[in-house]
Amino acid sequence: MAQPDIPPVNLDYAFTIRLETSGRIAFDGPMRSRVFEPVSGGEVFGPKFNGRVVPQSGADYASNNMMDAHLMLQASDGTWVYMNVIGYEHTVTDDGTPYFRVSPYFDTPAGPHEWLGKTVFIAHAERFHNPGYLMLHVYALL
Amino acid sequence: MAELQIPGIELEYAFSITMNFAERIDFVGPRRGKGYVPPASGTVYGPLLNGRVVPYSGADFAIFREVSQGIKANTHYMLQADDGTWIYINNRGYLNRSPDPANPGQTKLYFRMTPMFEAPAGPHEWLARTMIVGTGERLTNPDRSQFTYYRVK
Repeated sequence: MAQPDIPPVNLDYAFTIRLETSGRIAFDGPMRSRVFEPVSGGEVFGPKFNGRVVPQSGADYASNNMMDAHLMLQASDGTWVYMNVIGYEHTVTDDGTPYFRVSPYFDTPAGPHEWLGKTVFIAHAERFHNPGYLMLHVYALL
Repeated sequence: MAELQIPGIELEYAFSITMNFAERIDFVGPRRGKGYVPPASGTVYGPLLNGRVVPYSGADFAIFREVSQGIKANTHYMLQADDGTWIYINNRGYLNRSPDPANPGQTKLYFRMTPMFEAPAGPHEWLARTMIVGTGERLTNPDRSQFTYYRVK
């Protein structure tokens, strides 16, 4: 096998999502743990997108430390955006703080936000308490 | 929010996959175009994983959208590591077009992916709990795709 030719890859900071949650319910399915963590609101801000997290529009249905959140955003121009976040919660860091490595996928109409639906993103996320929210710092994979 | 600290994310080269194709089947479902592109063979190589793509173990069941929106990839395959371990890979992402520097006036398809893996406990277990991103391009003569995967640190 030839030596791998490793192409350069770049990330571009796009926006940050403050995802507020409340009423987390944890239960066990037949084979694995499952969480229902409803989204109660939040905001999106940054160079590439600004808007709000639509309250009660969805939840994280995480299973075995794998995030699987489905919810709606609304851009400041009124555009509706569906977001599905998949990825992993890592429970061990140097200072013991959980963090996430996740990938948000979007569906949105043709127009100024269409690029969200054809771009791969990854995010670093952290969880905060009282009140409960997640901060997702979202980067586009160029 | 002026004091907001945006943490950086680092990417580390993990492995590459060369995937060879013998056929591409396009068909139209009730609502939109769909692709069925099974791998005829393939090789996995790099610092974090070596093995093979199991021939005809699955396919890219791509969804064709409006041209400006690109193609939505959704692949399901099996890999087998050099030590014999079976690994399931589900590759989600997009194929978009960009100008082809080698052929002025032409475009080429490139991939951006976030694969999710399932692997048993053991040396390859990390694949099932690590975020990985991929880039890639489609090549011709012979028909193949070249992927490069990075671990998100």
